[in-house]
Amino acid sequence: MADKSGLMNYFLKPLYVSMKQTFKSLLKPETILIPFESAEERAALREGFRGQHSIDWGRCIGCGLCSRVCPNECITMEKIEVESTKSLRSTQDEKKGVISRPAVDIGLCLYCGFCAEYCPTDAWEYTTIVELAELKREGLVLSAEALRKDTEGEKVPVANKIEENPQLDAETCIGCKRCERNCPTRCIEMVPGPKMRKDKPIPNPKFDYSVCVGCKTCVDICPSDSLRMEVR
Amino acid sequence: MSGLFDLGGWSREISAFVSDILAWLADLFGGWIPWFRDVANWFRTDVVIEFWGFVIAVMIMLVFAVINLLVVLWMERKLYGRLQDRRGVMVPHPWKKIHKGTGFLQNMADGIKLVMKESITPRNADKSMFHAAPAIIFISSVMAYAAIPLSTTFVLADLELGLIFIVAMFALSPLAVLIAGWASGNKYTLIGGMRGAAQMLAYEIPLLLCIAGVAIMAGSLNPMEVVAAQQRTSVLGIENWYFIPQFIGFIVFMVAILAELEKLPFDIPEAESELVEGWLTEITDIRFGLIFMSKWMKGWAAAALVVLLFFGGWSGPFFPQEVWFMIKTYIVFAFFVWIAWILPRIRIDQILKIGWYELVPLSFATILIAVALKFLSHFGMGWF
Amino acid sequence: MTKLWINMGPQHPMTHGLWNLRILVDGETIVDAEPVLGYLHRGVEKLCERRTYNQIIPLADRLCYVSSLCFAHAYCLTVEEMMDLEIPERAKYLRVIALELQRVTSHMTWLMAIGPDVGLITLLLYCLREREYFLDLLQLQTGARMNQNYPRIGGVSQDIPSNFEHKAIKIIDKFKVRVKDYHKVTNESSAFLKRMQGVGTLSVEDAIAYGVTGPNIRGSGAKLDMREHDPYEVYDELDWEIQVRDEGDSLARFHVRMGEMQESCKIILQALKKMPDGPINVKAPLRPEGQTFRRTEDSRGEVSYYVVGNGGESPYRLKVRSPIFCTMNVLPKLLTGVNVADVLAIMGSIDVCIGETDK
Repeated sequence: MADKSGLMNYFLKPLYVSMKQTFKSLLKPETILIPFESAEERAALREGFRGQHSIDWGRCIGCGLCSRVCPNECITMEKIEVESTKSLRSTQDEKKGVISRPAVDIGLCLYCGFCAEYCPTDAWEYTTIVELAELKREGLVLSAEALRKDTEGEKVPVANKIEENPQLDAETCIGCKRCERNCPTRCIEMVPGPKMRKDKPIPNPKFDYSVCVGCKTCVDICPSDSLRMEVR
Repeated sequence: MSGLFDLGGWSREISAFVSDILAWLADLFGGWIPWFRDVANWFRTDVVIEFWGFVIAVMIMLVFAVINLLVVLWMERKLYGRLQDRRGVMVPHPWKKIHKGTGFLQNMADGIKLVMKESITPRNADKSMFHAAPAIIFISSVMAYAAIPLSTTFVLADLELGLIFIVAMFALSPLAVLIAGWASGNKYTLIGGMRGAAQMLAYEIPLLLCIAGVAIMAGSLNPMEVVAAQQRTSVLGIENWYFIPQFIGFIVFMVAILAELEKLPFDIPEAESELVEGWLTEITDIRFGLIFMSKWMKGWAAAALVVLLFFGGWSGPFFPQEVWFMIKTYIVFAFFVWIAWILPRIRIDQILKIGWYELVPLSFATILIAVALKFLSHFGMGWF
Repeated sequence: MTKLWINMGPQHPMTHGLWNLRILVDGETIVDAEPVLGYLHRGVEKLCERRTYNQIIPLADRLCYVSSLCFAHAYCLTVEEMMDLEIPERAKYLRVIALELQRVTSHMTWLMAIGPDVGLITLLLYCLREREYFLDLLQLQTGARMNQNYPRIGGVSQDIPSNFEHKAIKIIDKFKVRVKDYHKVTNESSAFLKRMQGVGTLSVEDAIAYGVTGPNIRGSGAKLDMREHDPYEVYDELDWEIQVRDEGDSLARFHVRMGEMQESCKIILQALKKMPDGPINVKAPLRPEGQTFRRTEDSRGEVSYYVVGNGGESPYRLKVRSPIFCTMNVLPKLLTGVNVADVLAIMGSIDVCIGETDK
């Protein structure tokens, strides 16, 4: 191996490799001409890849948990006007005729997959679309409408994947019911609390933890800061 | 087969034709202007026809050199693309639907790009020398084409010392490398230029000694004579191409000529991973383009030299001489590419060691073999 | 001749990242060398202090862009130990497969970088070609080609698809054939040997004294591998060998890494065969308390994390020990007295990754 010397030992074996490889790749190159190949061949290269996001609007409940877990804070909840629903189980937004759906700035996104992992209704999905380049930075902000996917998928039971639930500090609750009206899964029911105001008990939220997704909406919206997230 | 293209004769004929036209014009208008006829007659003298014939021949050779450069460049890029399991150059143009076989245009695109680049001269540079170096390199590599015969008739200058002239032209460019390296006022270029000079010293000698070996066998330093000597039948019953009796010389010559070309195993003057671009670091725009062009021009000239010395020049059946010569040079050039892109760069001290300790003794051996064969052939029991 | 300080970096073909190597040359000989770091400092350790435990995983990925999975895994392992968490058996095997795939791609990146370093650009293209296949496997398993974000605290993020084993066997077979070509153009030709042999010799004592780890110290003759000496996951159940060379020069380090690629392929095939069915994830507590120190074997050396949790959402303190940052100290000793061209052969064989060095 190493002790061989002489001029021929310098190049004979490399020369064999280079000539072999030249003729081999002249006949059948290993590379694929990417813009020119067929769509199937290109798709085969991306098997299992986390590409562009898509959100199943049939499943999304607009809880905003994805924007909470995102490490780069690239997800914003976009308000979209729809026909208002006046049913008893509607949230306040739905009664006003708006729903919130996530929009992604893919210029910031790092494709970690946490949003899909924590989505309580499995509405998030990653497609294998990778050709996302744009000429301007504004083009990289994908609106909620651009990510929309409208399959009436079978409803899956909501699951709390972040494993945190809101806890009430009944001492400071003022009974404003904002948490109840804004909860995306409507898991809050107002029950009479221990404290009294004008001889009437202050209504306190009671959480149905089997439905709660831990989205922290109620905690963020509480005017008296009497809610906090705790590990279940 | 004889040559297809009679360079000297044809360009003389073109020159004579042009002077005939001038003479006809003089006949037509000569009556009105008194001295016009004299001028026309002067144009028809042999000296002037000879002179313009030579100018036209130079032009034809230059056009050939440039077209050949494009082919060689394209060939190298395509070949080492395939060698590296890539596709090589393709799609240089906006009509992206056609993508096969259009990589040839890439060379022109590169040339246009280099012309349009900004020209930068460093503040510390020695300006006149810095600008002169690319010109010296380009001129010397074009000059080498003058003495390379493509056939018995397609030759610009049929020199008695043609081989020496070609090698002398090769030897000019390391000087320019040293000048460019020193004049750029940069540490990388300085080291690169020094390396170029050291390498030149080590590899010029085996190169010349190998040529001496061939010249002893052929009895001449004229490339035409060398090829003619190779067309004689040897003891093996085939044409006496010198790579068989002079095999050691052939190997040494190949190594030395790779070093002369600064191709990859020996490209330490511009070792791009150590010295950024070596002596080329500060050179921009079309000056870089000229150096780039002259590199490949010299590459083909070196291949032609190898064919002339060791592969019987243009001799071969069925096809005209020029065709055979071009086929052989391209194969040799492909060989250069195959070797250059698969070997790692060798360190400066090792290069000098290979040059002085291995190549110089081996090239003395080639002279010994040549002399021995020549000596034996005097007694009728030699190679010829 | 006067001595010259030459900057190799921050913009230089040698650096493989953003750093500066200043060398003092006397002619062609190096008299002194001084690595200058700090061009790529991102303050990762401080960033970690305001991110939740899960959100640190993608950040740990970005410590080293070449072997990102190893760093993320080391972090997860440390936090799991802090939580006293036992992860499922299948997750352990999946982690081992992903880690070894990552090790092969990382060593491929090293090999493709050493090619242009010594002037062998073709080797870069060949290695990129084979690395692409291993990246395909990683993509199939983890969903991304680099910065995979695959390990989780308590397991892994996703299972492998059913066609994975078939593909892996096919690709590894192909790789074993192709690697013969690499040996032909490198260590079986004396042109490459001339550049690598006897260059940058590092003795065991120096290596230990300067804190060199990984393939670099194994090339110097120390049989030191955290997969064997401080076993994690299921490495102790698998059959593989530590690659050791005694010479300590660049060629020895080259051989160690070439051998490790083969060993990694062996480990992948074994793990695929032995892998049990079962869950791939367990629930992890969100706000752990305590402190742990854990070391693992990255493709470049020993990675260790020190994590302190004080019951909050994010760690109180996180310290990363990256292998190449410690190896950088030995450079002045290694480079003094060698040729300018040898810097490439030495730096190439050390396998520098600036992402983890500067943090």
